[in-house]
Amino acid sequence: MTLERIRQLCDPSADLDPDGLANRPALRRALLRIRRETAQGEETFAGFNDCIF
Amino acid sequence: MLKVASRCNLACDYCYVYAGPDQTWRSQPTVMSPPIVEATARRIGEHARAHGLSRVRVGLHGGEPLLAGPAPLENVITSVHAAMPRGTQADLTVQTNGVLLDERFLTLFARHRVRVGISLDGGRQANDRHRVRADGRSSFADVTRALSLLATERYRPLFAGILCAIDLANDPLGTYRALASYCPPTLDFLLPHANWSQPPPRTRDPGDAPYADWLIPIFDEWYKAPTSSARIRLFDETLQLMLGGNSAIEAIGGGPTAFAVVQTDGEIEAVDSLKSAYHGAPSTGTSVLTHSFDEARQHPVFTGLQSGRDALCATCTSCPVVAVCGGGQYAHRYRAGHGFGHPSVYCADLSRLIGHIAGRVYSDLRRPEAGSR
Repeated sequence: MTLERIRQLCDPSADLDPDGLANRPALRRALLRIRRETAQGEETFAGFNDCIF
Repeated sequence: MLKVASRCNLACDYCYVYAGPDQTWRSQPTVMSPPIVEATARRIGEHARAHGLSRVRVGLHGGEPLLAGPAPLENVITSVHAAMPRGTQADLTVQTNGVLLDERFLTLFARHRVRVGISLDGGRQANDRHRVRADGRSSFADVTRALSLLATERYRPLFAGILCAIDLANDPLGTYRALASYCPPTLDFLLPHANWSQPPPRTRDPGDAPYADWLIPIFDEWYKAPTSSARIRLFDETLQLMLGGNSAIEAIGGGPTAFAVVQTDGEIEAVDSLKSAYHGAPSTGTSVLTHSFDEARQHPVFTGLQSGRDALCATCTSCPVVAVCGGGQYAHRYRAGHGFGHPSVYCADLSRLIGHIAGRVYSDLRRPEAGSR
């Protein structure tokens, strides 16, 4: 159930509202970022750890 | 990552550049000369053009980068911008210990929209455990003065965040609250660079995961906060991976790295945390004067780093946690004489921390009110 729910929440085409997770700002931020990256097809590489970007 | 200065005005005893096995800084020029700056900028522009990049991130790093001085730093910044092909944006950040950060530097950074990251390990006592000058004097007052400048309306947009190296002797929540009091947009807690031959301090109990135990109270306080506070990069990236996304940092996730380090003499190196493994570990023998970044990345040290999860050992690839930890930071997998084909020396810590975060997140996702309209 959890995996299915994650897929739903991260699907940029789904009519779902991650803002419903209002009491968990960090979780909402992660979900919105994944939806955005999924929609834009962004490729992510690992960046330098000893510098804060 | 441009090493614009190869010396430092602090003498932190955990520093992987000066206090570790790699001592190549001794033979490096103290600052990057104008011809090296020009060649570096040209190589960055060449790379952006060759790969059609819309955005390039450039970090000004050291040593202490502000030791280069305002005018040479401005030359670096303007050279990088000038070398970008049409359609490529260069985002610059400087990572500083903050001791020299004053209105002169901030005015310069504001003019060129260079964001500023500060290194600070907590409150005065926590910070001065390691981050002191060569004569042992505290750096805390100077850094907090710099942070108060960054808090002003004029410079606030430049503030990128704070990096904190974990010391188990410091109280985790006290450290977190002290750093959060400066209202950084992003915070990160760094595991001290260590490996199987030079392990971090811990007990001999095989179930021991003190770094996870240190981080978990911070995660809980941060995660439960009703409003969005400072982003904590390690936790954000862990959540991201747990939900099926990618990590943007090398500490976690095991994604291929996509950056190079340019030393003050122009040598192109791999990530300099490798300096914590052995002398010369990140060296490639290539230079911006003679090689493109694409040529440099043919070196085996880059190949390993860019292999991502393909470089992991069998123990890692058969572990369910690998989807999130990615084997941890590459430098932390090293064992003398055996290379990097091991789990992270922080394996137990990463496993416990990830398990804890997963428990919190998944229970939230199961809540009926959490999500759909």
